[in-house]
Amino acid sequence: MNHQPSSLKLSVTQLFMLQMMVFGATSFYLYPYLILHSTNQSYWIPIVSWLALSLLGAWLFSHMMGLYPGKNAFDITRLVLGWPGVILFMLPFAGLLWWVMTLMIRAHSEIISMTILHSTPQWVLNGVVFVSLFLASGGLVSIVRTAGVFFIISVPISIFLTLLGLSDMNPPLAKPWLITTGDFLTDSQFYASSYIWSGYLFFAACGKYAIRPGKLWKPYWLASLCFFPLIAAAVYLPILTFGPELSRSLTLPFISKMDSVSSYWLILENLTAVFISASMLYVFLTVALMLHCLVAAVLAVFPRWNKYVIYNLAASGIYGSTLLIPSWRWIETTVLSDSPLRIYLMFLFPIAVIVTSAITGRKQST
Amino acid sequence: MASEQGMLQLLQTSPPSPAMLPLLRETFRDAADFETLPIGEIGSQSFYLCYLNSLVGSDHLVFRVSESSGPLDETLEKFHGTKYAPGDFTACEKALCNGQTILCTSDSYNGIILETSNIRQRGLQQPLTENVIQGPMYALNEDYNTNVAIMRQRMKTSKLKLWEISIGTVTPTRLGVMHLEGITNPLLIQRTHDMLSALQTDGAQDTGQLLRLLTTKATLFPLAVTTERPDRLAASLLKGKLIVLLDGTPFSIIAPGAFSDFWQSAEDYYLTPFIALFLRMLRFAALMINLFLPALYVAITSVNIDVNRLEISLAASASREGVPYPVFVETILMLFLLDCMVEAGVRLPKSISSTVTMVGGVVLGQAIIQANIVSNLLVIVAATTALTNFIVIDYQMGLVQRILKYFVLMGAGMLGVLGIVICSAILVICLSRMESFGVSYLTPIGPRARIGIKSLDRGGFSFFRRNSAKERRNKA
Repeated sequence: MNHQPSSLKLSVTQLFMLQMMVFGATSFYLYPYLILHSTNQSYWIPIVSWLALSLLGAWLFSHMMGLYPGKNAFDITRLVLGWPGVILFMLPFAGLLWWVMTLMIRAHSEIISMTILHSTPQWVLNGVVFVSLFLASGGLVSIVRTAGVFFIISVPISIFLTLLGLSDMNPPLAKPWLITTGDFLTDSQFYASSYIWSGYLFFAACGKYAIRPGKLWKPYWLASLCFFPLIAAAVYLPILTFGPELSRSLTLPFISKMDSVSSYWLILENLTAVFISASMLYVFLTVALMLHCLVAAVLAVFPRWNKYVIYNLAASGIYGSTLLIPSWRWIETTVLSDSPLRIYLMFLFPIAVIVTSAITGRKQST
Repeated sequence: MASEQGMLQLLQTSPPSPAMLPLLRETFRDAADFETLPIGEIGSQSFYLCYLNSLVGSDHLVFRVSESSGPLDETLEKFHGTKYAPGDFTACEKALCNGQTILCTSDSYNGIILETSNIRQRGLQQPLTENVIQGPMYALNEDYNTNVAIMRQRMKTSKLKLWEISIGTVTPTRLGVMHLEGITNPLLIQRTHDMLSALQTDGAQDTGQLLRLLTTKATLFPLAVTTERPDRLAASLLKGKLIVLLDGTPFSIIAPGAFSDFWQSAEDYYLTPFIALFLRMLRFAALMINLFLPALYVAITSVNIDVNRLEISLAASASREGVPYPVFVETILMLFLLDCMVEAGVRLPKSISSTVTMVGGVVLGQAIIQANIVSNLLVIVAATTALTNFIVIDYQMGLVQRILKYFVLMGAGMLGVLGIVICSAILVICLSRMESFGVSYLTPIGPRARIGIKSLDRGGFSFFRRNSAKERRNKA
């Protein structure tokens, strides 16, 4: 029941929903903090800069996938670049996936601990990775179906909470609106903020099932443009409520903003609990997608290994890694130090495959 | 007379195998209702009728009593029946069990099977489990032939195809699969035929058991909808599904099944779309309340107290004043008692069940509050939960809900709101991993099928479509 059928085809809508879930899982916790610390001027400019760059990256990635329809990115890398490709790209990619999953789980368990379950031990909260394991072991079909249900639940909640957050705003606090000296370009936090724009890399194991792998950029573009207002709101709502200085001093600006929302007509007092509930659905799905990606990468190198064993080992390893993280500050530092590796994979990986394929094709034709 | 002579010529006396009559007598030796009746002689040949007197009808065979060859001898004069055919021992044994009669001689090696069965069955009645206000008011019954006839009467088309098989090695039971040619996906038909052909069982008593046999993995959710309403079956056939009829049960399977099908009543198609949509939303809301209300009560009164408005939290804590148990324990206790009452109400005779409900619901409920064992608020929560459980259309899905609310409750008891989210996510994941006859259980969400079935039920709000067949023709 859990085998991937060769006839499985994922539509643009399904890939769009997957990408929306990835954005939901990454956008709300560390991203506002990084953008707020990357510049003192127009905050939307660093956001849009990375948006534009990621659209280019997604296009390159889908172009790479389109060259070899019916294969995932790992098979393509092995086919085109051979063992050097495995060492130069697949190994770092697997490492990045491992870190992203670890940080995402730990960051969310920290948030839960800070906001709704103060006395629950971290080792219990980190166990949510096993929910993702259960999902991922059902295969991509199961992930995509679940994404459909989670999308229907969590995206409207996120939109609703964002709209509620529009209360108590003071627009002058976000000034200057149009001025920038490009100071963010020299700030490492700006590069670290690329982590929310690297979601198209998680299509690495989905391209095989895309109806048109060369058009994989479409769902990414659509999702990034649709989610852009929520991303902008995650950055701007704390600024418009607390002001830039106070927001900068907060560990989780958007969560603090959610905590401050109070509407008498709402039955609920604590919107943070609702927000975190929706966020956890994003996280379950995204971690499952990444876990699937990680297992696909391992299977591309060791095709005879039992995938269920790899799933279990990977999830247990990630759970162990989350327990080793000492503090929230460590999470921030790791996201900063990951940036070069992430940017390398976002752009250099597809470019290397495209260029090598072109050179090989030319050699063969001559 | 010529035709009778022709019929008797079908009996073989050359010995390819042992003689039929002693074999049948040996096979049915301890069956008190087995009879062998000598009916006369032609030349040196004595003729016998063998039958199970509990199954045959008395109006098929006419005997003549005379004194021509001795004092009051009886001979078979006439046979009224639709068909007859020769059969070997296996066929004759099976025929006897079906209520047919075997005509043979004392030394013939085969028999002539006469259609004399008189199957006992109840007449057409109103559905017992799927009541509607508007719509057809009759249901299938336990007889396979009657059920097939009902379907043929509802769908007067040569495109309605029936494939039959007998399942069960010890007690073979007739099973039929119906589909509409040109509408049902051939892959689905083939897959279902393969699944049923591969079935190994001693015997099947009900379609619920059949579904259990068809499920390769242990699962909590029913694999497909079972219904006794012919209109619902006909509507499903028109939507490209197939139906499985089993002899001996009024419930038929509609395959493949999706989670959304369990919230759809046959009546939805007879009402205006907006009312049907409203009713379906109501049922879905009832599902949510049934699954999550007790859990939410536990979460916001014991784990995440700050989630609720202060006024409500104060009211909840005031109602719990004097209750000695933790919220989780009192909720489990109350829900368990409620489930006991529901079960008692179902199993007991109707005359007693109303008394039990009265004693359980009113007396016990009042007493339990006065004794400070549970809070007032919890009684409201428990009553609402019980009420919403009965809104579900499918009985099996209602049972699943009854179990699942404990699962969600345990999540809430441990991790509060987060526990509810985790349990809900696990449920969705379980559903996403399930497939019914090769089609996604979460249809129409996500990739529908692994076997390439795409032209199935559009699901969701398909009752908005006025004339799906016409649309299909236009598309073609």
